[in-house]
Amino acid sequence: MHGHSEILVRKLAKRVHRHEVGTLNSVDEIINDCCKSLQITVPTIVYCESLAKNFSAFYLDDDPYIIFDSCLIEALSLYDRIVLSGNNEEDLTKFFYKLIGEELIRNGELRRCLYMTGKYRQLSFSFDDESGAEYTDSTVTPLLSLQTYFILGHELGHLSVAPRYRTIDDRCDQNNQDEQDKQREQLEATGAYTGKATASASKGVPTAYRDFIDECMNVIREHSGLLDSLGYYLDEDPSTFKYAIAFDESFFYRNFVEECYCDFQGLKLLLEHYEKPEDSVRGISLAMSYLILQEAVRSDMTDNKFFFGDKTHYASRCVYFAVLRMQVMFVTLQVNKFENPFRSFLNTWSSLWPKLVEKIPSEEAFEAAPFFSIPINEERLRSLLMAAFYYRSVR
Amino acid sequence: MIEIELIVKGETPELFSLPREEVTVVTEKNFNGDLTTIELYISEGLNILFLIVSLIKSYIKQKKVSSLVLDKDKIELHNVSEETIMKVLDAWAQRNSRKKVSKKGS
Repeated sequence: MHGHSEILVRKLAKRVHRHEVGTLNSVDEIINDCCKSLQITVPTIVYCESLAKNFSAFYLDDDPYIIFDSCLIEALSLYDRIVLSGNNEEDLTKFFYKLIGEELIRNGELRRCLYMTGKYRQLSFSFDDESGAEYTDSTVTPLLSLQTYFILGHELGHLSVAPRYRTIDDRCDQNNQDEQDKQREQLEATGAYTGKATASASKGVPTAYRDFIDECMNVIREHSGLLDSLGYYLDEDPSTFKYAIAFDESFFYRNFVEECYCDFQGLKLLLEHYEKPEDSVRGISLAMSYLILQEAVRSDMTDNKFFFGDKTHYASRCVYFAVLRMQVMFVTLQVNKFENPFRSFLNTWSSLWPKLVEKIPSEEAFEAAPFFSIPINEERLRSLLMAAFYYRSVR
Repeated sequence: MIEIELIVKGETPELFSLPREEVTVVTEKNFNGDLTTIELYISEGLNILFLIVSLIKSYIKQKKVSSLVLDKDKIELHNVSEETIMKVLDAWAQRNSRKKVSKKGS
């Protein structure tokens, strides 16, 4: 067994830090509250402000931890302001440059990031001038609070269903006996096989919830028009639901169900906590929209599809699943009674993202730029770039 | 402590049966839940190191691994041939086992 603090230090080091963050009492309270409702052990909370921009819950041995990254709250607060002030194209473009630029810093592509920093600085957010004063902290702070509740609830939901350490017999593909036997033999040879002596810690997602998701998928399939606006981003016609059908009973589908279940936990905790369901739905929709945006940018850049420049790239599966998750949530809430802010997100995004990406110079053009061969102090440049994208610390 | 990070699509149950006193396994799912980041923190035990490498190789053959981080160097598997990555893994395991042997000897 390893020292948890050493592992945590290593985990945090990978996240590309911006500032040190102390304990945040409001977050402690939310987490305690959620854990009480979920009847799980309160995890150790690790605070940070990093370009990973996510919350992450996990077990180290049997001890639960959650990383609270206040850069996610900063980005969410910016996104909320952009949407509340009317989805101004310049605001969104500037925001995209921040997302892309910070991702380049994370990937160590600092020289390439210089272009994004420059573009980011040339634009201004409309809500930062006097005319945007109505979208001040007093408007955004309550929204951020409920979004934090939802995302933390989702992450803690993962802790509540985490299998942790189960036996090889529990976990192996039951249909692949040969592989199971082979792996067991290998482990036995080293004395590593722990057999049935290792306890399973969780029963996972309840069967009744799995049945519910199956029903939701049927409802969504019957209303395939729900996904029509996504044509550009998908490599398959969404109306065929090829993915969903292919993934039924698969590993991916099981993971999808777990994500939906955790969304449901976040939703449930939020609705128990706040009295205005309309505000909650709007907050969740905005939070999910932002997370989809972040993941789509990240996924495109990870897959080296960033410089696509034409329309031949195929869509991130991330977008497809995220949209399905949102639809499941709306079916759960029977949300047709409420305004669906998610649809306007899809419309705005699907028109703006391709336009923006087409303007970004090609990979070859970047590499031909003279500064690519000049030696630089990478540490200093990283700090400068991170500072350039800094908006404000939101806690 | 040796650290390996894998990003996988699919199940990797064998990693969770490794002895906990020698290997700490931390998993995190991405936003969609279709990719899992698995961090392995390995302390002592050369057999375990080679066993882990052989498990990773089998996952690569099964096309379950999308990227791998060894000694902070990230390798995107779609950019590298299977043969090359196997050689890289073997060399990495040998290098780390030599380090451990020399530590024990000193």
